[in-house]
Amino acid sequence: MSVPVLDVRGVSRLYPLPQRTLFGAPPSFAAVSDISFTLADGECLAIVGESGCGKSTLARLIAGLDQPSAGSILWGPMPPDTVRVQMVFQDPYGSFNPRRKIGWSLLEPLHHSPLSPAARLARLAELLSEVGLPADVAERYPHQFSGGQRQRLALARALMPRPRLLIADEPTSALDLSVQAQILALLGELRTRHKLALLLISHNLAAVRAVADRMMVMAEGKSVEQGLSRDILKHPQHFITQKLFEAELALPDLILFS
Amino acid sequence: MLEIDRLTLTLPLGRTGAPLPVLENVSLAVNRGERLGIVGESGSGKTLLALAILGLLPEGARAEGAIRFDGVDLLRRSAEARRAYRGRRIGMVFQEPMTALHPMLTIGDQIGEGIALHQGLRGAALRRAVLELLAQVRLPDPDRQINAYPHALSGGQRQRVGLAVALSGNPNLLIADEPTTALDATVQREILALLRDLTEARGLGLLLVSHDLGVVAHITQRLLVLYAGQAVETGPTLALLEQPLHPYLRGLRAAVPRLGRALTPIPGTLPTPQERGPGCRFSSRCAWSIGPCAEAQALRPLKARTVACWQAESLQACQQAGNLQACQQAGNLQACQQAGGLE
Amino acid sequence: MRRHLSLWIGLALAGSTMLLALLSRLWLPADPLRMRIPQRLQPPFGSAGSLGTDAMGRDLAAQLMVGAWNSLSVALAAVAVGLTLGVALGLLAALKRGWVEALVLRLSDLLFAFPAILSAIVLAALIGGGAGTAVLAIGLFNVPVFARVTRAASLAVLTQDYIRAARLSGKGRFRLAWDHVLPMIAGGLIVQATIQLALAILTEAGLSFLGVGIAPPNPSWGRMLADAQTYLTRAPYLAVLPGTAIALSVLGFNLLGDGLRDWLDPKAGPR
Repeated sequence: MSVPVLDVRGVSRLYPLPQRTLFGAPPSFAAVSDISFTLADGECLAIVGESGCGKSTLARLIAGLDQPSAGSILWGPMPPDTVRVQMVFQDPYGSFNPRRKIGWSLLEPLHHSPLSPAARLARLAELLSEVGLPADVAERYPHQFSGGQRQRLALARALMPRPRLLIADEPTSALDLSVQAQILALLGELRTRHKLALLLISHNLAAVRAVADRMMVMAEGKSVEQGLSRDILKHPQHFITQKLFEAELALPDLILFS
Repeated sequence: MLEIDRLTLTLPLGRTGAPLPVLENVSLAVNRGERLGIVGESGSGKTLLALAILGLLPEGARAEGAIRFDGVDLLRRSAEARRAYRGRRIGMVFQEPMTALHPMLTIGDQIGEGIALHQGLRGAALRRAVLELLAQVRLPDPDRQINAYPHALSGGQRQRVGLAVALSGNPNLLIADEPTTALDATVQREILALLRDLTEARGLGLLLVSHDLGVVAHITQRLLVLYAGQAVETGPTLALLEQPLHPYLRGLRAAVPRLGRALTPIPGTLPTPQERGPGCRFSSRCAWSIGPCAEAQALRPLKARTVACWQAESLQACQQAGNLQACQQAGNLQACQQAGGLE
Repeated sequence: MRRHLSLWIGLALAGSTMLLALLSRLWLPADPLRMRIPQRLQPPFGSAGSLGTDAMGRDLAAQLMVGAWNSLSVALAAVAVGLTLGVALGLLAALKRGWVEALVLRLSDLLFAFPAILSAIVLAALIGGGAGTAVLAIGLFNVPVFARVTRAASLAVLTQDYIRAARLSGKGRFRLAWDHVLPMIAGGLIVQATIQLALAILTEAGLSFLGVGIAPPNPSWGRMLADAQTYLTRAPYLAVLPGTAIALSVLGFNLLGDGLRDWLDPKAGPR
């Protein structure tokens, strides 16, 4: 068993609610409540649940964009020239500053890096080709790209500083079906090549099915079921998981694939 | 009821603003009580098709062909005459109901507006009609919610209200553009069931526009698959999804991730209107592409459906042979013939 | 052209005001301060000169041109003061949130409660009148305007995912402001500044009218109006000329601001 990249222990995030009574502690709302899990090197964990279940808040806590109210987020040893975590977001249209050229945005994660300008540009070209885009896209502006292309660019940006963990928050839910498959396949490919640990936040079971080793089902800020995604997808135990699976609109099975 | 006959739509596009076709020779028909799904990706022209029926096309658009509603060609009618069809004959449900609802009016006022306009009801009778409609769209606690503002509702409730607004003019046809894309899976299922029940109870025609095969498979009876502005396959929904005969639909079908199977995305991207050539528009992404694909293939009948592909017979034969992948790997056509499928 | 009508009219009016002001530094039809009592109160287009003379026989065209320079420089300096302080405070509020934000907002309310004219009179009583007092008073009045606009626009930008991506890159608050927030809100600030400029010209005219603005005998539109009062029935053109200058330049900068807003953000539509 390899050393975990990430060890999340009893993490909660409370948001204060407006005071209802004059005295006494103000009420609070637990967006995330006592979540624990570990993530090994190169492993993919999917966090599944309906909107408002706390999965995106959890992602922000792990990314360090928000601070937990309780619990701890521990990181394993980091090799030199790597960073802990990067993120890919749901909305491909809000992921890039519309006034900046793509090249500028993609180099942004390296602004603390000791790399020389030439080495940065080499890394940029390398990652653009890995996500299947020509090097000259660096000179263009975000509005010149489709949603799918922007998610490719977002993946390239996230990988620039060599993260150990990539958090993908609903990376395909704003995309067309055939583009979703392309981005998921690319995510799988990049994960293997860069030995990334991957945290996939999704309400889309199809996406989870395609890439995740393990999954955690969340509801109302709590984890209701955790395990190997293969097992849970076949035999969901918790009724919330079962409800989630039943709601998925299955396609008739293709004769030629059966 | 609704019949679209070889509709071609051109829009001024790009820097030059030259008119380019975004829909070409699309024909379809929806009868009362029938549910038709239109499937396509962003850029396939599916939303423009819906807007064309409603007469809400962007400035500079030119339409040829015919859009007949109960025998009347809407394209030959004045803007004034077409407005009479919106709401009263044809209702529209949008992807994000918040954009269709007025934020400063209660939902009762917004639904009542349509009923008052189209049925001439006032006062208590109007309120009863609104409550009845809210009950029909299964909005919980209609007596209280009738006075609520849109922002106070959840996404699913808003879509129910959007549906009630669309039904307030008592239309014969409902057009729903990605009505459940913004919703959670459980809510999505409820809204789709509601759409199906309402069309059955009221004998409505439904035109459901979506990019999600699961959604159309769930409630539509017939399907029209759009690719780059052209219909590539039409027919009964289940038959099409079980045995797609156009390689594009086959690719879409295979791009849905499944447990224990490698993901097989369609390579490449949808050609933009500027990039579209004379031949089959899918050929550059198609594993089945052969010489004749450089020429366009019209929709032709095959096996209780229509399909626009030179290779459709080969695909069908291979599917019957039950070994599509083997055929394809071996260099498709010939292999298929050897597999014994082709007449 | 028709789509940006207000932009073009605004540009023409504001542009000619600015051109006149600049021209006054290079060339004048006459010395605006030279009194020629025998030629006093000449109507425009009469024998004495292009636009006539005032009660002291001073050339009105020259006074209007120098007045344009004086009014515009006070207005520009005041808006620059308001813009600099306001944007800094607004950014600080948006980036720090919490008590800093509350403090900035309360301070804004406090400053906003005192109209520029009132604070200028108080300031004039404390430190004396003059152009500096006018700049300070109008500038202070502008601070809360820019602070609020900056804060609101910055908060909208700060919710975007590219801000999260930049934070994940390890960028600090001020780097975020410089790299992302300022370029995104610059357009809105330029529009606001143009509109505030119109307001500042009007306020400066008001201050000079009351005698706490630009110090005499240096010409200003407001004081020309004040001087015209005595002769309102005998020589109405004395009031009409500076009045028209004030009205047209204020209208010009307002239209320019509105036009710029439509041009920069066609979606927002006319107000």
